[in-house]
Amino acid sequence: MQDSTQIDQASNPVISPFSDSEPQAHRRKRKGRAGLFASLTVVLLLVLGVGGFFIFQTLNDPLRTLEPFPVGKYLEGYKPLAGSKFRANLRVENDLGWKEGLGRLMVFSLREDPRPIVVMIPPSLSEIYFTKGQNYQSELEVKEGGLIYANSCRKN
Amino acid sequence: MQIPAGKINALISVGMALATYAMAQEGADPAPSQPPASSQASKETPAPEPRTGETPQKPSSDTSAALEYLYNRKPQDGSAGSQAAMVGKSIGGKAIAEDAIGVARLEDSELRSRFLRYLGTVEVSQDELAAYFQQMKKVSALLRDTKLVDAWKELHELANYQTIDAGISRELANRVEAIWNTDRATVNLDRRNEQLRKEVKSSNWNADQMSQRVRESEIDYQRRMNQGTKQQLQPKGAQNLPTGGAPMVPDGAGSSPPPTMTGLEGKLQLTEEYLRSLELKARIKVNELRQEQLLDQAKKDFSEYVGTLYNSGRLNHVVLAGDFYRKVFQEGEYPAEMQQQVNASLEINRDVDATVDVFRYKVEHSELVGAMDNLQQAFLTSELNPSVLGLERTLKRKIAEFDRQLDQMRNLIEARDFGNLESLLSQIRESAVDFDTTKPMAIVNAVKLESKMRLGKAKLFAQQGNLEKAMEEFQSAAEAWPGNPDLEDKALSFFDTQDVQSQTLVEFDRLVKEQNYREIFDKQIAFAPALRDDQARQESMKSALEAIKNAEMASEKANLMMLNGDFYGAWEAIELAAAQLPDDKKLNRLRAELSGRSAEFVSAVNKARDAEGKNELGYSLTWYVNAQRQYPASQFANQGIERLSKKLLNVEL
Repeated sequence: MQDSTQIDQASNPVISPFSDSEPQAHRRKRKGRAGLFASLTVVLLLVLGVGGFFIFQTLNDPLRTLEPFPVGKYLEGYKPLAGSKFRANLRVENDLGWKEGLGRLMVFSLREDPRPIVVMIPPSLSEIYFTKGQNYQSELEVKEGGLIYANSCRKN
Repeated sequence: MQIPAGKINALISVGMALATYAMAQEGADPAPSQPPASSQASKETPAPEPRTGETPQKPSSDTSAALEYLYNRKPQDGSAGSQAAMVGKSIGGKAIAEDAIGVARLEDSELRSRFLRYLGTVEVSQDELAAYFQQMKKVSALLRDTKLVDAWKELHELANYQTIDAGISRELANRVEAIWNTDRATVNLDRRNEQLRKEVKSSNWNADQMSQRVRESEIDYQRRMNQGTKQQLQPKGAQNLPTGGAPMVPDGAGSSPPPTMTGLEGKLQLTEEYLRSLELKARIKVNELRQEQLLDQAKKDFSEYVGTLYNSGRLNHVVLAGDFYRKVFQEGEYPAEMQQQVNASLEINRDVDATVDVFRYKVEHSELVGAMDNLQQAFLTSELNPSVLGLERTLKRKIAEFDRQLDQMRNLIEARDFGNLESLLSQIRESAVDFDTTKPMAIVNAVKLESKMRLGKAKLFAQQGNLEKAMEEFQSAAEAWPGNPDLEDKALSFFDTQDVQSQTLVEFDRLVKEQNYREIFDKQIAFAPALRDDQARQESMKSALEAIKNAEMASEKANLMMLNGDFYGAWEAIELAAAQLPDDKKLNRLRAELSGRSAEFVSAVNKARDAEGKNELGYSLTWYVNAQRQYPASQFANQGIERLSKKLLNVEL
C-alpha cells in the first residue's frame, strides 16, 4: 500500500486534498495559487534570514576557534594545559565563595563530562548572577597552580 | 657530756639481761627452801632442807607474756636499740622455747650435768647394794648393842664400797674418833683436877695446923698478959675477920703488938696456905668448865657434821651418825635439830623408794614426761639412795633419749625450724604418750600464721610499689619463720617481679619510642604496675591508650559503615584514625582493605592532598570537589574545599 502511494505521488507531484471533490469556480482557482506563492516566498525569506543570522553569529563568535576544555586531561594533570585557553559549555553546580576584587569561585560541570571543575570568575564578570543549573559558554584558561579562570562567560 | 655509743650499748644489753633475769626470778617458785621430794607429812613438819638443790620450774605465764612481748616486737632503729633488742630477742627465744617444751627440767647447769651423767652411768649391782646395806645394818645393830668400837671398825669396812659409800663412812669414823680424842683430853683434865683436889686437901691440913699453933700462941700470950698487966678483954668480932675465921694480929690502935716474930710468921704462912687452897679450887673449876666446853664443842661439831651429811643427801649416814651420837655421848635422845634430820632422812628414803617405783611404772607405760619428773625428783632428793643407784641403765637411757629430744625441740623452736619441729613432735608423741604438744603446736601455728601474714603484707606492699615496706615485711616473715617454704617462692617472685618490672620499663620506653601504641595497649595490664610511681611514663601510657582507644572506636565505626555499604565513610574514618596512629598494623590493614573498595574516592582525595601538598591549590580544590561529588558527606573533601577556597580567595589578595 505504501509503495502504491509513492507511485501515485511520483506521477502526480501535487495532489489536492480536494481532488476527490467536485471542481469549483475558475476565479477561485487563481487566488489560491497567488497565496501559495506568497507563503513560499515568506518562508524562503525567513529561512534565509535565520540561516544568515546563524552564519553571521557563527562567524562573529570569539570562542569559535578555541578547543573544548578537556576535563579528562585536566584531571590527569593540569600542567600540560597550563596557559592554554579553552571554550566550555558550563553548567553551574555550586558557589564556593566570593572576594571583592578577586572574583568568585564556582563549581561547574561540562556538558561533555559530568566531573566538576572549579573555575574562578574574575571581577569583570561579576555582574553575572550564577544560579545552579544555568548554562554558560565560557572561555577558560588554566593558570598556575591548576586554577581555571573564566576569561569570558555568556549565558546560553 | 657525751656518753660513748659503746657504753650505751653495753648498758642497754646489761639492762635487758637483768630485766629478763628479774622476770625469771619472779616466775621462780620459792621451793628451794623445801625438801625436793618430801611427802605431805614432811612438808607439814618444818624439817630443815636436806640440800640446796633447786627444783625444776616451769616459766610462769607472766614471764612468758613479758618475753613474748619482747620477742615479738620489732626492735627500734639505731644500733644501740637494735643490739639490745637482739639480746632481748635471743633471751626471749630461749624462754619461749622452754615454755613451749612444757616439761619441768633442771635449769641449773651443774645439777643438770650431774643428772645427765647419772643417766649415762651404769647401775650399781643389786648384790653390791645388798651387801653394803647389810653392812650398814650390822653397824646399827652393833651400836644398838653398845659395841661402839666394833661399830666404829665396821665403818671402815663400809668405806670399802667406794661406788656407793664414796668414803663417807670412813669420814664418819674419823669424826667418832675425834670425839674420843676429845674424851681423852677430858680424862687428862680429870686427872689434873684430882691432883689439884689433893693439893687443896694438903693446903687445908697445913692451914689447920698453922691455925692451931697460932691459937695456942695466942692463948699463951693472953695468959701472960693477964698475969702481967690488967685483965684485958679478948677482941670481939674475931670471927668476922677477913681471914675467914683465922686468927689475926690484933689491931694496933689501943692494943699491944704481938709478943714475938714467930707468932706473926705463922699467921702469914697460914694465910698463904689458905690462898693456895682457893687458887687450886679455882683451877679445878676452870678445868671442869673446859671439860664441859670440849664436850659441848664435840657435840656441836658432830651435829654440824650430821647436818652436812643430811644436806649432801647421805641420808643413810645421817641415821647411822645419829646412832653414833647417842652412843658416843651416852644420850638417850638426839638434839632437836638432829632429830628432825634423822626423821626427815628416813621419810625421804621412803619417799625416794616410792618415787623410783612410780618412775618404773611410768616408763613401762611410756609416760616419759612424768617418769622424767619422778627421776629428777628422786635424783635431786637422794642420788645415793639404793633405789636411785640401782636403777637400770636401760631405763635411764629412755629418759636420756627423751631429754635429748626435748633439747632438740628447744633448739628447733629457738631456730624457728618449724618444719622439722612438727616431725619431731610426732616422734616425741609416739615415745612419750603423756607429752602435751598443745603449747608447742600453738606456738608453731602462731608463728606460721604470723609469717604468712607478713608475707601477705609484703606482697601487698610490693604490689603497691612500696619496696621498702615490702622488704621489711619479708625480713620480718623470715625472722618469724626462716624455714617457711612459701618464703622462698614469694621472695623469688618478688625479686623476679622487680626484675620483670625493670624489663617492663625498658620495653615500655622502646615501644613509646617506636610509637607502637598497639603493643602498649595490648600489654597495658603488665605495664600498669610498673608505671605506678612514674608520672612521665604514665602520661605516655595515657596518650598511647587514648590513641588506641580512638583507633578502636574508628575501627568499630568503620565496621558499622561497611555493614551499611558506606565504604567511603569507613575508609575516611580509618584514614582519620590512621593519621594519629600511622604505624598501627590493625588500622593499616583495614585501611588497605577499604582503599580497594573505595578506589575512586580514595584516589580523588589522595590527588587532592598531593596537589595541596604541592601548593597546587586550584588543581587540589578541583579534586576535592570531585571527591565531594562522589561522597558528599566526606569530611576530607568538605574540609579541603572550605580550607582551599578560603586560601585561594585570601592568597589572591
